[in-house]
Amino acid sequence: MKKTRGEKLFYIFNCVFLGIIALLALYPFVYVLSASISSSDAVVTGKVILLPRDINFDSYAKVLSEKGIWIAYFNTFYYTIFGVIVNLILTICGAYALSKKRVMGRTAISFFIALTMWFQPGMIPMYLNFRDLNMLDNRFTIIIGFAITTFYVFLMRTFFQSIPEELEEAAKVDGANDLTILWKVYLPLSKASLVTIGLFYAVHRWNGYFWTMILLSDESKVPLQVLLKKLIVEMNVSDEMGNMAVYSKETIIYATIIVSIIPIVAAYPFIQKYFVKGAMIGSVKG
Amino acid sequence: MLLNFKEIKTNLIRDRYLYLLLIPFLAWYIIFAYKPMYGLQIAFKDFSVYKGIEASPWVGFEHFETFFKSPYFWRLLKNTVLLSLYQLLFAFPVPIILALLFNELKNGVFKATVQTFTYLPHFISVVVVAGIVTNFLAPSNGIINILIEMMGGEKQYFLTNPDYFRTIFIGSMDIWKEAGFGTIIYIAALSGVNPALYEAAVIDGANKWKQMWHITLPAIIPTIAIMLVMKVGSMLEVGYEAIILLYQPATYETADVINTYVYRSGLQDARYDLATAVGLFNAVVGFILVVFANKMSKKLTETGLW
Amino acid sequence: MGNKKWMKSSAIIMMSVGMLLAGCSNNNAPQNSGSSANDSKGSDTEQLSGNLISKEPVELTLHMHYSDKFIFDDNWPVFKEAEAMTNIKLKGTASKASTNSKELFNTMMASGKIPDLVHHQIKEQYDSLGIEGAFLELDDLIEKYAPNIKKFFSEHPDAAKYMKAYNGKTYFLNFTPDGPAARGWFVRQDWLDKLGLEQPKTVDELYALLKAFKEKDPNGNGVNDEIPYFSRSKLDGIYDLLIQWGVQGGADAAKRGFYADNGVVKYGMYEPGYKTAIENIAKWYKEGLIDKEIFTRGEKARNILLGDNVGGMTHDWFASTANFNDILATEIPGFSFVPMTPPANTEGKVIEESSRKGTHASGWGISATTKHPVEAIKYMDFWFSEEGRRLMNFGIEGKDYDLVDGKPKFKDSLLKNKEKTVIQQLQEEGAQIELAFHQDYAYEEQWTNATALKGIKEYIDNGYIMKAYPPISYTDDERSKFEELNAGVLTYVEEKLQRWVLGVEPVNDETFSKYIKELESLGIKDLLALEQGAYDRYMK
Repeated sequence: MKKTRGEKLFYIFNCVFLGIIALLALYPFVYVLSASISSSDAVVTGKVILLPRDINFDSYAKVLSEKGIWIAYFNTFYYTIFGVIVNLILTICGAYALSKKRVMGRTAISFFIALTMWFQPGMIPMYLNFRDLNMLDNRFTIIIGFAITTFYVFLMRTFFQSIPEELEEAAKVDGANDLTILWKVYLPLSKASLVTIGLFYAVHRWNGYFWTMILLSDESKVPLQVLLKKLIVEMNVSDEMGNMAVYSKETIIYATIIVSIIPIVAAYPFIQKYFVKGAMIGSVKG
Repeated sequence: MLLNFKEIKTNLIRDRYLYLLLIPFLAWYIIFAYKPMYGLQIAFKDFSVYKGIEASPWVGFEHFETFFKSPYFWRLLKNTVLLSLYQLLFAFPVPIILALLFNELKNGVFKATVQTFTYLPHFISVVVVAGIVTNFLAPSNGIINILIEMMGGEKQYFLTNPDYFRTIFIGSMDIWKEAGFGTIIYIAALSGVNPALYEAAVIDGANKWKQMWHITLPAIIPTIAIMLVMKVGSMLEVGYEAIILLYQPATYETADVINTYVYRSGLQDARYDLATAVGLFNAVVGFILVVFANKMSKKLTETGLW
Repeated sequence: MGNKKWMKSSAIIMMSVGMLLAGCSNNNAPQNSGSSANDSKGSDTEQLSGNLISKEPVELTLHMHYSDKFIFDDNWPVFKEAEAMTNIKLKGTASKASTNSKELFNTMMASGKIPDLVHHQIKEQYDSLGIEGAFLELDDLIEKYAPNIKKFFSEHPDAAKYMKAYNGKTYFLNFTPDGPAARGWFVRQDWLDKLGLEQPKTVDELYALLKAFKEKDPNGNGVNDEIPYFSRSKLDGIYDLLIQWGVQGGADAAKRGFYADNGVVKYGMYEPGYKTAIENIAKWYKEGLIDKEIFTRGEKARNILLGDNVGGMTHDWFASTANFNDILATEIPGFSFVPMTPPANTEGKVIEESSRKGTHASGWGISATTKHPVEAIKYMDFWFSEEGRRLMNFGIEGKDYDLVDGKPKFKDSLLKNKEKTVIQQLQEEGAQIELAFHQDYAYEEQWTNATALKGIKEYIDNGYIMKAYPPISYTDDERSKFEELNAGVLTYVEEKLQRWVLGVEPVNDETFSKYIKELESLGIKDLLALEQGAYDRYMK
């Protein structure tokens, strides 16, 4: 498999190009990190551009010692993990069934659920719906009430459809029913897509803020994002009350961003391996 | 493809597990997505949070009239559509191209690192990114202007110039911030391609470009198609939060979109009825566009949303 | 035997009269009072002593969640103190998890579970809901049971008028701030001294001064990097200058442009004088006298430009701006940023248009479904009593302040606290909360920076501060029409304003008359007519 000179050149350019892009994309993160460990004075007067100034960890101390932060972290993990499990189960149910041409009403159902991507009822009716179902201030509500993002159903359906039908036929010949096929054939082959959709749901859940704030009133149930937002809002100082509070909230904002990003960023390398080329190969059975 | 009762029965039994799977799925939609949709009627009512939806009086198309009669309606619509079109032309292909380029990398560590870096801006809030962009473009000492001056050009107050708004907005919010994360879908799709196909192609003497054209691209066409249909459908859904952070009255000409105008007129202040009406308008137009886009997609690529 | 009969019948008569009178109040009779005669009398000085409202402790539920972060805390010492004095205990029902006051209020109303007392920041919405029947009309209750509020109303007729809804009834009692000064001019006195200049007395002198800042290098670093006039409020920075050419209406961001000239409502940016103002401002901008980046500089402008020793003059809140003298004292030797008398404008007037409003949109009212309307109004009345007012303004005696010569004086522990400001500390105790009470400027005076105080005093004593445009209220229809028209008008005004100042478009007779015509086609006349109607109704 000899590479031509052109291909070698391309490879080098590609690496350099992507390297530069990566560094450019890295900048906001580096800035946020630096700002979070700089003095608020330096940040506010614009002296922090790339590297931190007057390094201190005060904002982290403040954020991490905030009452209820570890409970909030726990809640976020809870909502993310259980939420994603429920998300995937329901999404797979729909995506798998809809990927089969023989299902009657397939087009109608697809249309029916696609409509919901555009026509959304708005905050008050949704809130009233939860109230009528007696689901206010309940952890379970957060898990089940937001279990499906229609767009991901379509994506997953597309992924399922890309798996060759011969595999299904072969399994059918062996006497397997649709559920067994789903479990033994499709899911193992869809690792990449499951991980992808799972990742998207996870990010959604992790950053989830608005509805958790509206539906939960018990402070011990709120996730990290809500708590962090509270922290930031509390630092808001009104203009009129002219006072000495320098903008100490600036660095706090940055610290909260880092605190909420780190777990996701740390988790990514473990997910990365599922995106290896040819994840499908070697799993063809029966 | 209408079936008679006998055929339906046969199908139900044969594919019973599939229908079984659909039950909880559809139940969810009915309970959580469709049931609250009666709330859409707020768009046609003079809604009071106290009176509730039923008791609030009907006003017909009054809210829509208010919205359409606005002196700036056409400009807002034009800006919304143009912004979306530019996004389609310039921002949409970026994650695809990046994904294809990432695909070519061989070194696992380098590949993972570079990809992770590009995902990071997605997690940084819009407010922070807007702040960074504003600093970079500052007329006197922003980095961009300093570079321009070094290269012999003249410093500009970019953020007050309507001609630059779309470029700045799309470049920072859609490309810089989101393109990296957007590659994930395509990378996942690419990982489903059988390496054996590539090997066979090489043996047949195909070079890199032929491989890409005949193997790689076809593999991700269905994904691209779906993403494209979705993007077309969200043509009017340009979010206001990011724009508000970057626009100026002097740039209203190109930057003011439907949602920013509505926001500015305080029309969203507990005016759920007006907000719902605007949302409904966006939804109807968006959906009509999706129907068209979906038809085209099915014609060209055999895949579509439904 | 005759005696007993008399006693019996007079007892019956008294009780019936009492019950009749009690039945006159809006809703169900309060459940805990033994004899209803208790509530039919005015100030209960016969039955209950001091500020006590009820013999038995009564609990009232309260929804209070404002500015996204102030949530009623059952543990607030100030309210515990009030409970001891009145026997009324408040229980907060607002979700502590929420950071969006507006949405929370709306979902609370939509849910139908409305507590006894409801606090809100948007008077207009509250009034509308009151008119729909969600909240009680307070006028009768006040007349019967709230002597302190009555007294306040008679002493502050403007506030009383403000608190009425457009139908003339009161549903909402508002927080009434105190202290008229808001923003003023500030200048680098040390630069003036260095250049041998006086504070400007006219617009021309102001221009000369800014020019001197720009050209004569007062910060002494050899580079003309000075930014003579800057602002942290973006467009406000430009609006603040308009008054120099006699153009009014720029000071209030919420009601931009409107002002009253002898009972006639006008719009500053529609007046012919606006052309002169903009021409000059554009000239000043071109000459670098106004911060080139004023539109994007943002909140931190003072921190950045004063900190970098390049900012020369601004127009901003007294107290917070004067504080920079303390902040930058060591960093920039000789730094002196002091309040400046407004220069006499082109009409010869020395005026300051910004003022702190005497009314505020925050307040509270009583739910129509409450079982304790009388207790509720009496409780609201308590905060207007002398003790109540002092409690809400200054906090707890002995803990936050001491009475010196009968006047509350904050303790040093409060004033010298480095971690938190005085107002933060007070608010943590439940004082200075935006419910309906009359604020007392004396509380703010005690911790305002001396420099600021001097400026404030000067502005007040010399009468520079103009009377604010009245806070008129609209009917629902008027409000929608106003928002609709104003959106279009203001969009155009600000777009042109910025483009003219930037120099992107020229200001001359031709372009200005085009501007006026466009404003008219956008409906400025209808807008003014609408406003005039609402104004006349309010002023009646």
